[in-house]
Formats: sequence, structure tokens, C-alpha cells
Amino acid sequence: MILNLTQHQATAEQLAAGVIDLPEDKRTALIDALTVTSLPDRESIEARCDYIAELACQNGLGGDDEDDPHPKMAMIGGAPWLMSALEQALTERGITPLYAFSVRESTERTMPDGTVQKINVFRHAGFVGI
Amino acid sequence: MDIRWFHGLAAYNKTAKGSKYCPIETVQRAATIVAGAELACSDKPIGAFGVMVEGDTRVIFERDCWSFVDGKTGKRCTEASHLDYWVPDGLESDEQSAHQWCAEQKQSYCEAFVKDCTITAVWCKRDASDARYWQARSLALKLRVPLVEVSRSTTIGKWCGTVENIFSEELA
Repeated sequence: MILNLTQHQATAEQLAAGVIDLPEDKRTALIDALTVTSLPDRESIEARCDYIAELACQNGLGGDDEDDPHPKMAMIGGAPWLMSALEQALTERGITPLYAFSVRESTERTMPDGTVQKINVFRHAGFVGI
Repeated sequence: MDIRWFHGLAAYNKTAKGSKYCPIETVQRAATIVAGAELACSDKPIGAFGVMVEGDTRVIFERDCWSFVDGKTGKRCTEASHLDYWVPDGLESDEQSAHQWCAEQKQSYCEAFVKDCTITAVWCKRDASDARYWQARSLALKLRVPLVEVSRSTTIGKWCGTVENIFSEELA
């Protein structure tokens, strides 16, 4: 089980690779913690990351409050200045932080008016562990 | 009888004299302490955040009390004689009458010694820093209790009655 701790819902490819989204109420709390609207200090960053890591443990995916499955891995992503502290908070709880790796596939299509439309598709290609 | 009180946790934060740094482990330890000790609690929130507890109220003072014995004086209260106090007794021992007594005192707040506490919520001041807010929210998540927003002037008497009143003001 790879718990999704990013702001975005997992793509179909990520779901197929074992990623699980948090339940909606927990995901709302996660987005709240990941959204920083004023200049943070180190203490604030650590407090937010501790909360996110705790949220990963109490993820609401169990049958009841006391029975949440402990994730072995978590997919993270977001502001670079937040990731180091989040990696640490997760590692302290026995959760391996992972970053999604994707490749960009470009296709070109000639439109009826002769213009060329370029479409970039990001395809999930695995995870980078820390 | 069980009466609801505030217990501040910000005082546990300082790892060294003058240090403002507050590792979350310190807060967690404080919560562990709360679970077993006879606490000094107050009828108003003191500090940035803390816990709301319900417990066996032994005595209420109109002055500052401490959860632990002071190393210098060997006391748990700021004054030697406890002239103004209220002991829960008989039919008068309900939460409303306790907080009524507090409201009638000349001091800005009252404190009580409370045993066998149960944590019913985590409270956080509206103007707390971002770090304190997330520490409080994290603690609430760990303890599986609601997080309640309070102001400096909030008194615990506000929540006299049912626990549902607390949940109605839950933040997270």
C-alpha cells in the first residue's frame, strides 16, 4: 500500500500501481496542511509535517478508528521546502517516502485548418524512493 | 465529582530557559502526564493551546496553582494560606455551581486541583501561531478528540452541559 499524501488524487496508472487516496475528510485535512499562505518558519513546517505523518497513520482506511492499516510507503510531493521535514516525519513512523516519476509523451496532430496541435501526456513510470 | 477544566500545555514547551522551540515530542509527553497526574487546571485558557479535561475536582482556588511541587518552596500554590477556596460538596457539587463560584471571584481566573482526568478536547487560541495551531491539531488527531477554538476570554463554563456543545465548535 502506497498512501497518496499529495494534493492531487492518484491517476489511474498510480492507482494500478498500488497508490491509495485518503478518504475525502482526511484528504481535505491533508490539503489544509499542505497549503501554506504565509511565510513559514521551521517550527511551523515541522508541526505541519508531523500532522501529515500522523494523518498517514490515522488514515481512516480501517474498519473503525482503531483499525487503520499502517502504510509502509507514502507518495509525497509539493513545496520543496516542506519535503525534507515530511520525509523525516514519515521515516520516524516507519513509512518510506516515495516520489512519483513520470515521463512526458508528446504527440502532434494536424488540425483541419492546417495548424499543428501538440499534446503532452505525463505517464506514470514508477517511484523514486529516498 | 467530575467538572470540566482547561489545562494549558504551552508551559511544557520550553526545552531550555528562554527557548521558544517546541518539539512535538514534548507536547506528546505532556499529554501523557495529563492522563495520570493530579493537575492544576483553570477556568480560562492559559497559553496558546492545551487540553480540556474532565476529572475529580478536589478544590478550587482564586489563584495560581501548579501541577507539580515547586522545587524551591515545596508548594503547589502561589500563596501559603488558601483563604478563598471552594470544595465541591453534596448537592452544590455540580459543574454550573463550580463555575459560578469562579465567576464571582475578584481574580481574573481560578484554578483547581483535579484528579483522574479524562481529556475531552484539545483547545487552541484563535491568535495562536501557525506552529502552535498545527501542534494542537496534531495532538487532537493523536488523542482522537475534537480541536476547539477559544479566545482569551473564553471560560470553561461555556461548555456546561453536554459534550455535543464542544463538537459543535470543532475545527478539525
